[in-house]
Amino acid sequence: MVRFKNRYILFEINFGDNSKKPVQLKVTALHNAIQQKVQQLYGDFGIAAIKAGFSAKYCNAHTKIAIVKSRHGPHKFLINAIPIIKDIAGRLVSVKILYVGATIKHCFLFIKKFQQQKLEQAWNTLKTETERKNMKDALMTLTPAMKDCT
Amino acid sequence: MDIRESTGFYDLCVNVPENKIENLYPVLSKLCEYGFKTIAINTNIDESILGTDKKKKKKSGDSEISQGIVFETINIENIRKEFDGRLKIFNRITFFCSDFAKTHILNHCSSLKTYDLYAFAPRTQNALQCACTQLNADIITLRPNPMSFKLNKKLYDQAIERGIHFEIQYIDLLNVEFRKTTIHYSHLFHTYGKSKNVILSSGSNDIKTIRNPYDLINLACLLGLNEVQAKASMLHQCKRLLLRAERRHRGKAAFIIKDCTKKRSVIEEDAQCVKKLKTYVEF
Repeated sequence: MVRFKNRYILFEINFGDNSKKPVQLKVTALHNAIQQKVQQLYGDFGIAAIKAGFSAKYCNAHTKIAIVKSRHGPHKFLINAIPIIKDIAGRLVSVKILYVGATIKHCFLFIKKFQQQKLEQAWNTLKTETERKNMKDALMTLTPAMKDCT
Repeated sequence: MDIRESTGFYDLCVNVPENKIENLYPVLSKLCEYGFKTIAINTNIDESILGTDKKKKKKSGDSEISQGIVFETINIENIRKEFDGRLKIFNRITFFCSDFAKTHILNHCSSLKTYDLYAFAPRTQNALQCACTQLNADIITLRPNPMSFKLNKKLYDQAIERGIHFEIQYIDLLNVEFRKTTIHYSHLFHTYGKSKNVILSSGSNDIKTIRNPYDLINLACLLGLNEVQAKASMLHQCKRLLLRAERRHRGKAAFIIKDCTKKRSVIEEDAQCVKKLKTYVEF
């Protein structure tokens, strides 16, 4: 029996406008943005191809990492389409793919490492222990949506 | 029903344009021109036809009434005569259903026996599930619906094991609304079972929507079929399907016995030739 191969694409979203508005990350908005881009690039066929097993989720609101799951094969469409996403729900963004993994375990290992790096950078600017602890909590935890995946 | 070896392509779903038999003739001659040799003329049946009779049946408590339901069957004898030698024409019924219990009523119908092929078009997930596991149909056709179906490997394998074929109708690809879902379903067949038992048919009711079989083979790469599979989906798979339908009809396995007497004479001629040759060599 052949198992289904999946691909998980991790990417980081940077908001272009520097306004300090609280970032509202909505899964459906991300979902639509990706689908719209695939529709532009590959048309109806692309949409139909990525539809099976497609899901998009945010991992962490502070580091702004999102993860997209797709079947092996049509993930190539996604890899091409994701970097050229320019706006999500009307906000200007730039998207950077960090990692493409075959299992969610490896993706989490990568996220852990990545967030550790971010944390170390942030710690340099902070002095007190409580601030540091708060920062650690903020960066190293995942959103509740991801809990069921771990 | 006569299933003999045939060479041309199969198109196992042709609808009657606007319910007028006269309009069918140009469509069939066009199909014939494109190289199709075996055609099945489709009749759509909705479950609502059976629904009204179900209440009556409950009152009388007898299944005789359900046997009396007569659909508007297309008289294909005239068409068969018209296209004799050019096309082989079969009769097919497509049953649109959301409630699986209604298929039992249909099974009791005597008019079901007049159809050579029995296709089932589920409208709900539940109906699809039951059809894959229990229903004694030939074809399951996933028509675009407001509700989308979920298929899984187990369900698909069960259907394959029971010899049920899945149908893709390319008329849905010409339609902008349904294109995405149709491609999606055919990709599901590809991921779950490497597109086993998939047949490609037109489902057309208009002369403009008929395509050349070789164009269809090229088109089928969009549907996750490779060239060999695409060709098979219009040739060998359909032949297997017809044999299976025959089996369902008669409740037995069907096979064809061929008269081999002519072959023997060929062998004898051959032997004589060899003898002659030997005599030449001796000289």
